[in-house]
Amino acid sequence: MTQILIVDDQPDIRRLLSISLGKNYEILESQDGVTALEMIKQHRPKVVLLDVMMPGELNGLQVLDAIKSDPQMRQTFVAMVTARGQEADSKDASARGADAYFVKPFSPMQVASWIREQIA
Amino acid sequence: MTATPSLLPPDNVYRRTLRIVWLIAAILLGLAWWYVLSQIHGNREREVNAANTEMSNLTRVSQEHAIRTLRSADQVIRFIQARYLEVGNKLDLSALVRQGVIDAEIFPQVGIIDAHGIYALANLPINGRLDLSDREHFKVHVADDKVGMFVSKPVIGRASGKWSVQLTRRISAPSGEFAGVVVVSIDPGYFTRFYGELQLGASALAALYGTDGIARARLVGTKEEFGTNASSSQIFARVEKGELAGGYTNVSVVDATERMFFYRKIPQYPLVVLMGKEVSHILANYYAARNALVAQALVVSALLLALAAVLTRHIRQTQRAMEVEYQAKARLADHAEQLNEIFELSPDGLVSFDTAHCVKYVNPAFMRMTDRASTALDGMSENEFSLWLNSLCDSGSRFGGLAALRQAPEDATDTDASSRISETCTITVKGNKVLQIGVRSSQSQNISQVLHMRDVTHEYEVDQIKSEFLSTAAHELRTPLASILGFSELLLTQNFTEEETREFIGIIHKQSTNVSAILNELLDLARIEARRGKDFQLTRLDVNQLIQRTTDSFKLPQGRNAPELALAGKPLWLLGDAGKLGQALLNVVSNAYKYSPAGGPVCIEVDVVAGRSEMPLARISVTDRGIGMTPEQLKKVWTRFYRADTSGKIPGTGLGMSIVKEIVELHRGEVSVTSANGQGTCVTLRLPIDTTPT
Repeated sequence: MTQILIVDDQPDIRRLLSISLGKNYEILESQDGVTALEMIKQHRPKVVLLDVMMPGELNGLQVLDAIKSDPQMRQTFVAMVTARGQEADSKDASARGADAYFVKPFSPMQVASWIREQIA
Repeated sequence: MTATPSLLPPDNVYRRTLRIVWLIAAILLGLAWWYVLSQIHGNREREVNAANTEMSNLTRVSQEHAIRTLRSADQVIRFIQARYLEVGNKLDLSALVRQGVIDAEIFPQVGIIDAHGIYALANLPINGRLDLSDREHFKVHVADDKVGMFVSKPVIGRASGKWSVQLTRRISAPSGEFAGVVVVSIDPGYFTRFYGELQLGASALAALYGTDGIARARLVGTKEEFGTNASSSQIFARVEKGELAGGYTNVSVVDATERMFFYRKIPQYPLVVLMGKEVSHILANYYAARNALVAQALVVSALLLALAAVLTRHIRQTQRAMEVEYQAKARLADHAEQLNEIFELSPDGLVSFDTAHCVKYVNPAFMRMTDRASTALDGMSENEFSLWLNSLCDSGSRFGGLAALRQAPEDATDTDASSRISETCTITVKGNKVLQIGVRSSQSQNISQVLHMRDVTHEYEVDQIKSEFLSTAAHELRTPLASILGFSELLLTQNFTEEETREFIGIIHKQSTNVSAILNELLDLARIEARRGKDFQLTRLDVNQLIQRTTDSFKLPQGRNAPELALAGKPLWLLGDAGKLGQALLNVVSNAYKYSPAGGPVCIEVDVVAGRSEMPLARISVTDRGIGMTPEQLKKVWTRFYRADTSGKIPGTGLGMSIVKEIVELHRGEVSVTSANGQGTCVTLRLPIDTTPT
């Protein structure tokens, strides 16, 4: 089963995404950037849903950089799921190699359908 | 720079000048009058001297005339005497007269009076027998042969009816006996006529007096007098004293006329010739000259005075004009100084440009804002100036130049038509400053435009903070909304168990409440910030009572005890808004319980401490034994929306402490936090005690 890593410090968001996607995919969760990278290296999920604003040493964008600069992790599909809704933010993420950008509040259905497309 | 007005000459300079002017005028006047008066005096002296000389001369002439006449008469007498002695009564006197031997003009009548006094011979026929023995001019020779020629007093001749003076000599016989008298008559008018031709003047007096005081001939003005008694005249006494000639001036008792006289005694005869000229006549020229001189002097005086007066007026006017000018200059200088000060002290930067659009004046504020020495900018052209200003700017916001600024559309909010919309540009001098630049065109003759620059860094930063705050706040709302939207979508599109449904609806509900709380606190905070405490209802309240009320109204979490209170022994009065302070306290107490989920006491202590400048403060300390904070978390405790714990286990908006801080600071107090990770936190509020006496 395809693994999806959900990275967000808010438990309710993790719960939401987990519920929306849990039926079809194996869900992994992490609540900060450092743990997220470890889990990616360890489990190699196909998709990573990445919040930007997180406590700890790494924020979401730094994690994104780390993923996309590592030749082994580069293949992972990364979607930013964030409250930062400015055009500049999405462009920045895009430039860094993000594959998608979802602004909170987001529609879980849209996220699910995007995932379906990437995997197919 | 201030212009010092030219110093006004003090008032006494003018007074001194005027004094000098009048002094000179007085001196000139004095000189003029001194000259005139000395001239007049000199003239008088000259005239008097001249008159004296003239009188002396005239009397000399008259004297000589008298002498000649008398000697001529004497000659005739002697001749007749001699002939009579030769021929006796055969002497033909009329023939002698006819022949011209005897001058009949002067001596109309000549004759012999015999020893008995009978008129014996004459040049004119004798009517009857004329006894002249009683006549003085006969009698005087009878006994005395030493008399010489006798000059009689004037008498009106019996024969002629005219005045005559008889000149007689004794005829002495060879034996020495008295043989009669030769008599020659002389018309005294001869003298007066002579005197009349001397042009002595209208009221002159000329007389031939005998030393007996009787006038032989006298002319007063045009009136001939013969035989008048003038013995009162001083000349007779003087002649007797030996003064044979002399001059004097006196006023006649008869006609009250002042005359200058000169007299001379006729030598060898008891006669004095006297001439007197009217003083006013003598001085007539002098008077005329004097009047003319005085008139001239008066004219000169008038001119001098007029000149002095004109000068005075001129000086006064000059003084007044200078004063007016000085006042005007002083006002101008004052005005200039005022404007200069305003320019210099203005907090906004100002740069004025002259008619050639070159920099004229730069005020100190502009220098400060751009960190630039003044001399470097003076005279810069508009372009150079724009380029220089541009060079100071951040790349992000360039200065478009003064020309562009002038073309910009008018600022709609500014009703002054001459202003243009301002640009803002960020200048990177001395730390980032945001400067607002505007240009106003000027209609004046010397200034083309004025550039003004205002440091709006603070406003800019405030705006930045506000928009940051808003975006942060908006941002913060997204997360709970994500839950609400997400879970509601799930519920709508998929089927879930009842348990799951309940869970999701619970989450939705919780997050909706969260959104509501965030919004409320945001509004609260915004309101508090905006009003800056202006809507605080200040009352005098007791800290102890405040704490009691707050703890009473606080809804204790389940299983927790009420806070332990250690209140002050006596009332501590504050001036504050009870509601807002209560809210702050509530937030702090609420936090204390929230962040000690494991339980433990919450203590509230109140005491008094000394603050700055010895002002007493009420100190309220709220302590919990909860999870505490790490130093990093402690640093961020005041950051808005900062949540130390984002696990969601502890509810909160992250705005609570901000509100507390805002409220306490608006009450002129302070709030501080100390904490140890895992051990607990203490929040301390310090508020000034109201010391006004009730």
